[in-house]
Amino acid sequence: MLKIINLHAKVEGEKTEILKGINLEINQGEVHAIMGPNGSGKSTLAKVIAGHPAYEVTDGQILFNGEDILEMDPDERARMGMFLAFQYPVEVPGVSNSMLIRQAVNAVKKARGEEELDPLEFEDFIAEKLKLVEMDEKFLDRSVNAGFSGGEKKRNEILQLAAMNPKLSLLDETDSGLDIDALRIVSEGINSLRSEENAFLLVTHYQRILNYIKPDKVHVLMQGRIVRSGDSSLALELEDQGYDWLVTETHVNGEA
Amino acid sequence: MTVNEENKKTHYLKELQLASSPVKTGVSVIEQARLKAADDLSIWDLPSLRDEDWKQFPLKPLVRKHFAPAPVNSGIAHSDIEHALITEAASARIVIVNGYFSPELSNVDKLPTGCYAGPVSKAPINVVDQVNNFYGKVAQYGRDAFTAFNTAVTHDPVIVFVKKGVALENPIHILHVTDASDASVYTAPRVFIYAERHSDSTVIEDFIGKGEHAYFTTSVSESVLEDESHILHVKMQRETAEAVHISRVASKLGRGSNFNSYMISNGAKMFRNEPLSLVDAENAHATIDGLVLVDQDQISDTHSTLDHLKPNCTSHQLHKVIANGRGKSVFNGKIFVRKDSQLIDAFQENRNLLLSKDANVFTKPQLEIFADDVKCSHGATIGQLSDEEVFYMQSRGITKSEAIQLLTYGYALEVIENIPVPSLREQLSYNVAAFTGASIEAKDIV
Ligand SMILES: Nc1ncnc2c1ncn2[C@@H]1O[C@H](COP(=O)(O)OP(=O)(O)OP(=O)(O)O)[C@@H](O)[C@H]1O
Ligand SMILES: [Mg+2]
Repeated sequence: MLKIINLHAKVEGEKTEILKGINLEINQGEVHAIMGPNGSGKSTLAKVIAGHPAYEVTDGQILFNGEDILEMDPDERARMGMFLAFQYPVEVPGVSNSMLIRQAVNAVKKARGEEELDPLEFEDFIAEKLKLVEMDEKFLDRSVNAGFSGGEKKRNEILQLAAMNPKLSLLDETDSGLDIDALRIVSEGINSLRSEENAFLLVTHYQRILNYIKPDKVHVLMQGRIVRSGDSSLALELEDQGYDWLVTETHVNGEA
Repeated sequence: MTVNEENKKTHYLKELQLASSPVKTGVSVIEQARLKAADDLSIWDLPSLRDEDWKQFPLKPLVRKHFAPAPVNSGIAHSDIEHALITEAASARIVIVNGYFSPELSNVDKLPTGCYAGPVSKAPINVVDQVNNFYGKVAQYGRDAFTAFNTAVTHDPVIVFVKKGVALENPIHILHVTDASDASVYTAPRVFIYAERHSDSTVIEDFIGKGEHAYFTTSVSESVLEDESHILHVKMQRETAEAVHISRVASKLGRGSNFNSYMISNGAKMFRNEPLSLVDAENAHATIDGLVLVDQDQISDTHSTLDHLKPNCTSHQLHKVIANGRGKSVFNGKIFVRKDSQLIDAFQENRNLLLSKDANVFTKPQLEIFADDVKCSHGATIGQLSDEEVFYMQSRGITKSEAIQLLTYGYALEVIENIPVPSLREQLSYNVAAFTGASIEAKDIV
């Protein structure tokens, strides 16, 4: 589904690379987790995959369903079935949540050749999704994320995810800032959306979300490189020991 | 400029005035004011380019043209104004065509007893009394030639009178139509609103036009608020693309009164708004919010004055601008807090959204505070849409241009959403959407 080959990226107009040769392959039905210290490039990777214009890809490829997407606009990627749940969801004053989500859902539906939803159909449609993340419908009438609490913003991301039903979901620290109940609700929501046809990439600092959503693979990103990949036990190891042992190990191997 | 042109300019308004034949109102204060204003125009005329307050508003497009007084007999029919009608005001609608009251197009049958809306020539005596007391004293014009011009040539001013203790259920819609189908014309509509104690009303002053010719509108509106009264005032400027529109919305606030004014401007080739609020008694509140949309070569100029003459008052001014194309917007917001006006809380903010690199905005808050125990905040921002917001929406499958439209629409909403007249809000939402190109549906309108 997603294949990243030797990806190098930097901030547009800057010199230093943030991503220094990422290789990653995610297949249908899989859940991958990416962990790594602050500033290692996790969000940058997610945003580059989603097509954020602030970053410039200097080398490598990103293939989505076999297609090279590097030249595509973020909205094209989204309509192809890619979704980014933001680490810091953006507040959009003046644009109502329901307007955004309806336009988003219809954009995706149109791209898939499906019938668009009229406002009434949308109401029924979104009511179901609200239940999934246990969100009150009053959040639909409010401006997108404006004045939402940290946890409400994260839930709103998952609401949008559920509504758009993407093939590949990039979840950037969706678990951070969620209380224990919210984490369970959001995780169960995500689990109910999992299928053989879609895939998830979870960026996280914590093992706890991985107790709910068991990853097929765990990768450690440090200083712009994936320095270690393993199965779900790797996350437990990191929780226990931190990242230091990986630094020394990679240095010893002379790879850094 | 040659001597000849300069000469012509100095007598420009006087010449237009000499061509006019204003309707006699029978109200002494109005007729006297007329004569005085006509005299004033012989002494001074248009502001010069050297005048600091007019520097950004070149009067050439006006002066180059000749405008004739708009004729009384105009072919304006119901179908010409239908698009601008406001459902909630169906039984409180005053239509002024070319400056003349139109009984056929107006409908003011259902006002509560003791209230009045219509031309001053037909107003009951107690209403005329208040006109005699305050006419021309709120829109004090000093050496402002345009207000003088309006005072001299206006026909039969529209009066709105809200009786003591009455809360009007429906808004009053005053629709000014200028017909420029056959020639370049000028009009000078005038409105006088009097709110008695504890009354509550919504008044919408609305400006539209018809035809391809250029036209020139100078409008003046005065509101007098008695103690504890409340006026929500909306001014909609949606003139045709060839219009030059210069207007003053003046208000004088009594004790504990509220004047909430929203000015929405997106028409005309060039327009100038001069709100003036005299907060002249304690515990009063004035809002003068504005929304300006300029595109192509449109010029908008707002010169506002909020004058805190008494202590314990509040004011709010949010002036939002969206500039596209080569549009230009000027904001000069004066706030005075007089020497003994303690405990004033005044908020002023001018936000400008530039949608094109050729758009231009000028902003100048001007606070003159002579009291020491006051809270005055002011600020101005000039910016583009946030890249992060655009990306966020794009990541939801929405194209960049749609995202820009929705964001611009959202930006304008902050002013529009305060207007408590649903059908008007809806019209405005569509106006803004048309300006930005956003595709919105009725359901999205707040
Ligand atoms: N737009 C940008 N401009 C400047 N620097 C940037 C930008 N985006 C990322 N960086 C830098 O790149 C590095 C990686 O940032 P990134 O946000 O990807 O880290 P992260 O792994 O997601 O960290 P965290 O765990 O704290 O979220 C950081 O040093 C950051 O400051
Ligand atoms: Mg991050």
